[in-house]
Amino acid sequence: MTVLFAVVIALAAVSSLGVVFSRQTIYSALSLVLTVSMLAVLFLLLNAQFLFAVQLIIYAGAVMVLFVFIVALLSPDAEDRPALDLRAVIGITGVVVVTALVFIAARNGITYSTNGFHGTVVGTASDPYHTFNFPQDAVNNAGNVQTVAGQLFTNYLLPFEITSMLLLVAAIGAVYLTRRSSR
Amino acid sequence: MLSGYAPILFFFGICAAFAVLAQFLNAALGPKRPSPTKDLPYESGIVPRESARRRFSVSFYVTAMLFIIFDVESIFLFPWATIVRELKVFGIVEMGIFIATLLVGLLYVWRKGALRWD
Amino acid sequence: MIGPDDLWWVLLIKCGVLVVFLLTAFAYLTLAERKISARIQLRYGPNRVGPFGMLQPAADGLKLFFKENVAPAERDKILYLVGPSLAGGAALLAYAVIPWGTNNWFGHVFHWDIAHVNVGLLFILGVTSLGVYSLFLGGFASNSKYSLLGGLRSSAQLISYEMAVSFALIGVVILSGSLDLEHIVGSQQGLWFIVLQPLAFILYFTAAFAETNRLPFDLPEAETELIAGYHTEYSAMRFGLYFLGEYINMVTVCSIATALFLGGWLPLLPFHPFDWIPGPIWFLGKVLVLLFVMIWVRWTLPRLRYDRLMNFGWKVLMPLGLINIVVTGAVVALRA
Repeated sequence: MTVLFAVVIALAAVSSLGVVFSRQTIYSALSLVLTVSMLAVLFLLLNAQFLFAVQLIIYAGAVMVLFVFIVALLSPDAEDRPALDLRAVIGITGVVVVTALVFIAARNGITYSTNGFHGTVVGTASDPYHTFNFPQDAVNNAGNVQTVAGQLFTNYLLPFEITSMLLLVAAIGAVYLTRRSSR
Repeated sequence: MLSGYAPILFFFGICAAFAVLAQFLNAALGPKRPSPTKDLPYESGIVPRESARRRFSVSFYVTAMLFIIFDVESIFLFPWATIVRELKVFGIVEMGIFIATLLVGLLYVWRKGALRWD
Repeated sequence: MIGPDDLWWVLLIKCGVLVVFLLTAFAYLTLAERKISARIQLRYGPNRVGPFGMLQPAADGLKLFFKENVAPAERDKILYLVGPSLAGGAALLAYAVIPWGTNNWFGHVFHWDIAHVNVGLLFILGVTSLGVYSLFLGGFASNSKYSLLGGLRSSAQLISYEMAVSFALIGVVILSGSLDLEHIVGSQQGLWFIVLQPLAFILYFTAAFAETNRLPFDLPEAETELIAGYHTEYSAMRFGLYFLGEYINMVTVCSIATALFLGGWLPLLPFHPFDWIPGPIWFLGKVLVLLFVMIWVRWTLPRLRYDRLMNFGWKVLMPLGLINIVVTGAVVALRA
C-alpha cells in the first residue's frame, strides 16, 4: 500500500516536472494528462472512488482534451531552455515553502472544527445526509457515490446551484470568445 | 473496497504488455526496406509541399469547451441519479433548477450559432 | 473465508480468458463483418482460407505481424508509438469491469469479471475518455495534414457523443440507483430496462456508433474522404492495434448495452427451460445480437457528413437525453 502510494506520487512528481521542463508543448500537455491521472489514482487510494472516476472523466478526459486541441490548433513552437530568471526563483521558493508547510502540517495533524455543523454520528444507508463522520466501512456500505450525493444535494446545495451559474457563465464566455467578429 | 480495484491494476499491466509486445514483435519480424518515397507522408501521390502544422477551424475549440461544461453537468447528474428516490420532490426541484440553467446555456449557444458547422 | 475471487491464480486465469476472448472476438468479428457485408451485397465473403473462411482472421493477423512498418520520417517518434498502444490498451482495459454473471458456489460468490468496482459505469466512461487521446495522438504524431485533420475530427466527434452516452446512461442509473454494473443487472430481474427506457436505449446505441467510429458516423476515417484519417500513416501491427481498438470498443459498447438495457446475464423469462442456460451464455448471445445489428447498420445506412454528424450529437441526442432524464427522474421520485 505504501509502495503503491510512493509509486503514484513519484510518477505524478516526474510528470509534473515534465510539464515544466519539456521543450515541446505537446509533451507538456501530455505530461499534464499523466499528472492528473496520477492524482485520480491518489483519490482512489484514499477511498474516494467517485472522485477517481470524476477526475478521469472531467480533468483527464475533457479539460486536458481542450488543452491538447489548443496545442494542435495553435502549434506553438518549441521553446528554448527555461531561463533561470526571477520567475524561476519565485517558483522554486514557492515550492519549497509549500512542501515545508505540508510536512509540518502532516506531523502535527490538521483538525477543523465541526461546531458550525449540527451533525450526528454515522447514519445508515437510508439516511446518508445527516452524518458528519465518514468512517470507511460505513461509507463503503452505503455506497461511495450515494454518500457523496447525500452530502452534495442537501448540505452543500447552494454551492451546487452556484456551480450551474458558473457553468452558464463559462458557456457564454466560450461563445463570446470565439465569435466571428466579421459579422 | 480498494482491494476490488487491485485486479484492474494487474489487468492494466497485461493490456500494456500486450500492446508493447505486439508492436515489438512486428518491429522484429517485419522487413525493413527504407526508401526516400516511403518517408513522405501520404497525399494521394503528390509530393507534400507545406508543413502539416497549420491552423484549423475554431469550432474544435468551441466543441471542446462546451464539452467540458456539459460533462461537468453530467457528472453532477450521476450521483443525483443514484439517490433520486431518497430525495423525492426536493431532488427533482433542485436538479430541475440546475438542468434549467444549463438548458438556458445550451439554447444560448445554439442560437448564437456556436454549434454550427463542426 | 477465502472465496474463489480472492485467489491470485483465479485472477490470472480470468485475465487470460478475457484477453483471449477479446482477441478472438476481434478476429472473428472482422470475419463476421466481411461475411455479413458480403451476404448483404449478394456475394460470398472470404471462403478460401479454411472451411467457410474461418481461418481468414488468423491469416490476416499473421500477415500484419510480418509487414513492414512504413512511417513518415518527420513523425514524432514517441507519440507515434503511444497512439496505437493507447488505442489497444484502453479498449481492453474498459472491459475489466463488465460482469458476465455472478454465481453462488457453495456459499462463495464468484464474479464473472476481472474487478468488481462500485463505480463501474463511471470507470468505463473514464477509460473511454482517455481512449480519445489515442485518435488524437495518431493524427498528431504522423505529421501529415490528412492525419491531423482526421485525428481532430475524430476526437471532436467522440467527445460530442460522449455526452449523449452519459445522458442516456443516467436514465438507467435513475432506475437502478447504483453505478455498479452488477447491481444494475440485478435490478432488471423483473423487467429489462429496455422496456422502461426505450428512448435511452436508442440514444445510447446510436451514440455508440459514433463512439466507435462506425458508419454512419465514420467520416473521419472514411477511405474516400481523408484516406484513413488518423491512421493513414500507420501500417502493419500498429494499424492492427488501432483496428483492434475499434472492434473491441464495439464489443465493449454492445456489452454495456446488454448489461444496462437487455438484462445482462438474466434469462429471457425466469422459468425453467430458460433457466438451464447459464448466465454468461445469455450475455454472449445478447452481445452477439447487438454486434450483428451494428454490422448490419454499417452496410445499410449511408455516411453522415461531418457537420450533420456534430449537429445530430449536440442538437438532437443531447437534448433528448436530458428530456429522458427529467421525465424518468420525475416519475421515479414521485412514485417513491
